[in-house]
Parts: sequence; C-alpha cells; structure tokens
Amino acid sequence: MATRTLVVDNGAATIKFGFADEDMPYRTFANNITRSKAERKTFVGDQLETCKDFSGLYYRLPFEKGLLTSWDVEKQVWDRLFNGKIVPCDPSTTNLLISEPILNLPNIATTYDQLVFEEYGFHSYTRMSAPQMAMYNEIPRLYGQKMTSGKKRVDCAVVVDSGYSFTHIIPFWKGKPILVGIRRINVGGKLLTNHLKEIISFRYWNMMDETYLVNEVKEACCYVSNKFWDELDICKKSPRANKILQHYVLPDYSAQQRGYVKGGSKSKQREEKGKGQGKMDLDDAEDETNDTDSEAGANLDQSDSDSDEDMSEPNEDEQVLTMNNERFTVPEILFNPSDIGMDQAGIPEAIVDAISSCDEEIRGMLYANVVLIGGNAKLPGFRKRVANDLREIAPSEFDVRVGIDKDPFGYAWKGAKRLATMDEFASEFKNRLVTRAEYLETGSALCESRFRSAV
Amino acid sequence: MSRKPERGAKPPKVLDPEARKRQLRHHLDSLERDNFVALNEYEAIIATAAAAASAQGPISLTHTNLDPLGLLPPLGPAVGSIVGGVVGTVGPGAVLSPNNTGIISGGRSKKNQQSISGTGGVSNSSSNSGSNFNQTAIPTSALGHRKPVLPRKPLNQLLDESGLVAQTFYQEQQQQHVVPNYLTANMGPSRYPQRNFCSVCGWKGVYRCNRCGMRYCDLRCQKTHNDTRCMKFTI
Repeated sequence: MATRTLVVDNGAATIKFGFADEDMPYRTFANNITRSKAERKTFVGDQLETCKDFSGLYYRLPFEKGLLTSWDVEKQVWDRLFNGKIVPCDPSTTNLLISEPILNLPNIATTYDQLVFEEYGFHSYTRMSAPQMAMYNEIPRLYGQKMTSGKKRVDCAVVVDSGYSFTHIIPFWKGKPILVGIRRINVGGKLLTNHLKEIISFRYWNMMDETYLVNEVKEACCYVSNKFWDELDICKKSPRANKILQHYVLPDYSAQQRGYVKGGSKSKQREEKGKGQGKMDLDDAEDETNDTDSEAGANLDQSDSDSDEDMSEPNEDEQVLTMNNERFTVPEILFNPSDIGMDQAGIPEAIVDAISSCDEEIRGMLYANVVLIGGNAKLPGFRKRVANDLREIAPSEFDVRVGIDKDPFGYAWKGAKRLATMDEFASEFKNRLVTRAEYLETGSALCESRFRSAV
Repeated sequence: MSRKPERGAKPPKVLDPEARKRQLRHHLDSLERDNFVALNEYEAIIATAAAAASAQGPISLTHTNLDPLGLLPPLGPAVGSIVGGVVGTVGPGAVLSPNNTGIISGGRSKKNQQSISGTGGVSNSSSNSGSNFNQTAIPTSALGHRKPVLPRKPLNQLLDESGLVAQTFYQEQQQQHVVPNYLTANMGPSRYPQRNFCSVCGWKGVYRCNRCGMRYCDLRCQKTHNDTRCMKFTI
C-alpha cells in the first residue's frame, strides 16, 4: 500500500504522534483545550506551546474517568492534528494506528470508527490499547537480554500502565491480553496532581486554580521513596539536617516562565506561610533519596545546573514553595491508595492479584516479565520500589523482574511504530487494519471483531 | 460555676461515622475532578476555539457536570455571537439529524432562540436555513460527506447504553468467572491496614480529632487543625 502510517497514542493527558516511516521521535502535546485567564486566549492542543502565562489555566479535557466522552473537544484537537496543521497529513492516503482506553465501552468504540472514517476519511485504521502497543517492543532488552532468535515477541509479560486517569495491570499471553487478569487502580496522574494541589493549598500557598503549575511541581520535585518511614522521620528534622526539603521557585510570569527547584547552600528564601526556611543541599538530597536509579541520575544533573545558575541571584522577591514530605507521600498513593481513604490495593498487590488469576503454568513467566509504562513511571525510584515491593509479596519460588524503558512515556508509541514498520509484524498489521471501503460496507461490527480477534 | 455558651455560637457538633464516610467520599470525588469552569466562560472557550478552527459545525456543549440533564438549548456554530451574559445555550446532547435543518431531535431546545444566530462563519455549510433556530445548516466535512452526528452524552448515559451493567449482572447470576469490563475491573481492597497521616503536616497521624475525625500528630498540629479546618467543610 502506497500509504503512510500515522501512529497516534491518544492519551487522556497528552497525545503522542508521529509517522511510522520517519526516523524522528514522536512528538507530544496536550490533549485538551485550555484557556488562559490572563491572556484571554484559547489554546487547542498544541497551541499551548505559544502560551506565555500559565497561571490560572483552565482545562477542558475530552476524557472523563478514562473514557473519551467529550467528542467536541477531542474533535477540535484532532482537527489540528489530522488536517495537516501540525504535520503534513493527508487522511485519504494514511493508515491510522490509534490507541483507545483499556476496556473501552463498545458504544464509544463505534464513535471512534465513525469519526475516523466518516469525518476524516482515513484510508484504513486500527485501534488497540496502549499496553498492547507496548507489547510489540523488544521487551527482553529491558532486562539486559536479547530477544530469543526466531521469536518476534515475548510469550508473556505483565504491563503496568500508570497514566493520567488510572493505573491498569494487564497480563499478556502471546500478544493478547488475558482478560480475566486485568486490574484497575483508580489512581492516576490526575489524582496525584489534585491531591498535591490540596495539600499545598492547605499548607503553603493557595494553588487550587493552578493545575498546570502544580503539575510541573509534581514532575520536578516528586519521587518514589524506598524507605518510606525513615524518610518521613527525616522530614521532621530541622532544615539543616533535612536533606529531603526542597524549595521550588514559583514562576512569576512577567520575568520568567518556568519554575525551578532551588539549589544553593547559602541562599535564604522568603516565604509567607511555609514550613522550614533556609538552606538545602540539593546534591545530597538527590544522592540519598534516589539510590542512583538511572532516572534519578538525569534528574540530578538537571537540577545541578539550575542551582549553579541561581546561586548568585537575589531572591528577595521570589515566591518559593516548600516541598517537604509531599515529595514522596504523594506518589505513595500509587502504592497505597488507602493513604487517602481509597479502598483499593496498590500496584504491587494488584500485580500479584492479576497474576494469580491467570493459569498456574505461566505465572512464573509473568512474574519475570513485568513492564512499567505510562507517565507516572517517569517518577524517580518508581521501578525500584515496584521491584522491591513485588519481591516481598510474590511467591518465593518465582523470579521477579521489573523492567522500565528509558522513556516509559513513549514506550507504547514505539511499540506501535514497530508494529507498523517492521516486516515481522507486517502480516499481523495488515490483518488488523480495516479499510474505509470495508467499513462503509459493513459497519462498526467488523471493526469490533477484527480488532478483538486479531493478534 | 458553669459557663454559658456565647450568643450566636454554634452548638458543638460531632460528626458521626456516617457523616465522616460521606465526607471521605466527597473528598475522593473531588480528587477526580478536572479543571471545570463556569458555564459562561466555558462557552467562551468552545466558542473561540470553534471559531478559530473554522467552525466545522455546531457544537453541542452538554457536559456532564455542567448540564447533566441536558436542559439547556444547543449552541449554534457562529458562537462568536454569544455574549458572555447569555447562559444556557448548551445543547441537550443535541442529536442533529443531518436532513432536517430545522429540527433537533430529542431537543428541548426552543428556548433562547434569539440569542443564537445561526449564520456567519460557517464557510462550508451547504444550506443554511437562516432561521433563528438553534440549528445550523447541514454540516459537511472536508470530504463533502455528511458529517457523523456527534451526540454529546454524559458519561453516565454512555455507561448505561453500553450494556455493561446488564452484562455484569448476567455474568454474576450465572456464577461465571467474570471477565472484567470497565465497571468491574476495579481492584479490591488491600490486605494491609490503612496508614494514617496527619492532615496538617503529613507525618504520622496518631491522634484523631474528637469532632470531625481528622488526624493530627501533635499538639501544634491539633491547634492548627482546630483553628482552620475543624468542622469547616462539612457536607
């Protein structure tokens, strides 16, 4: 087919997209319509990059509780994407590989079909859930091994997708999800950000309106701790001994656009309602708490350069947000939703529960192939924590291996790209596709059956 | 000698467990919220966005939280004409039948007709009834095909229609091994007990407030709690 394939990972927070045949990495932008109170402008999707002032940003999300309900919002974002404003895309000669929510509702699925074919007129398309996309990657590489020759994909794996709306645990067997083993924890990036907003608003500054900003703070400061109670005790100490304390300089949108984590040992900060003033040693904090995970290493370098820059700046008129135990208690909700009163188990327990509902014979293989994807997996220390906790509660006769890509955010997209381009998957890919002609003849039922049954 | 209560002071209330559970549920729901805006501003958002995207058709703005029952009339395509003060121009999940220009099926949409003028800005609509109805011409897509109807339904309605509730019920009846669907894939409770944190500072919440049940860790936090949060946000 002389057509190109556009791979789109349509998430609740961001869209990752790119053409399969290009060598470029995927691009991403926010999947929502935002309105800036200060600038009185509306931004659809990627136009947000042109925004100068992120304070008081109002969001209008197409997804609700993990399902695509607001089609008018989504359509506008898709218009920008599919009508060639961002990348040159001609729907009539393009195959679309798009992602749908896990356990999507059938009636919503038909709307996907409708929109893709009748509205945009794609040549053909297929949709699958993000973990399924991720399965097409070379998973053994995550554990430092190569794929067994002759096989194009692993026989089984458990994918933990921790995204914006939810966290799902899905075991896979030969590329297809084992349906009885699917588990969902209702904690996602959105809940973490909202919780952080509440805590900050109570303890420090009122930021209930500043979703975008708190999201940045979360991504900059939060990490997953391995020694929870110990670190909580450290936070109680005085600022000199408290290595975990971090100060995040809030942006004032006139002078600087982005906030940053404050470093420097001699600087004093001014705060109105904060806890703990004074010094903070950024290097030590990172070293001690992050246990040299590879993700943390990157974090450390970045904040190092930040701290070098602003050591000499006068900081009398800065607004500083203190991040103390919030840094690790907020991501802790992923592992213990009962911390905030939610009656659900956390990720490690859910993995054990999911695997236990699968066949006895493959359980060992499943434990040995756990993959973490999704935005929340980017938190430093996430992989180590999941591996430790899982090892504690998994049966002792099984080997536990937890793998994470350098970029868990785009892992699903990469998998889908491999599906679309690699020869080994060509026949599979072709079998999954539903062309426009077929759709106009038969309707959505064909899509439903083909996407579910094709491997 | 007993102290008389001050005049105008509320009688000291104590939240019983039921009320505390309600509070918790309300709190958890609030954590699920997205950043919603007031109705006026909301329309302004969609309006400007639609105008910017060279309006491809009418947009119905029924939104779960804003208009769950769909009581508001739909929004026309030339939404630039909507001035801030006009509330209630949102469509009741407006299912626009492409062949009828004047009628909105399922619509309770006859209110506020003058407020929306269905003209202007719709570059690729083939016919325009030009009426003051909250209805636009047959929208056409870039391909010249009839546009798919985009019914805007609230999430609850979508869930009902998906038939999953019935399916789950049936499966349970049959005592089958339930394959999870969207409604049942929830993870069950943890086997470990809940850990309690101080609601003020975040350390270990060993003590509980007598009245409202929130936790605190020491006297200082208790004082802060009593001053600021105790019984302030009851439902």
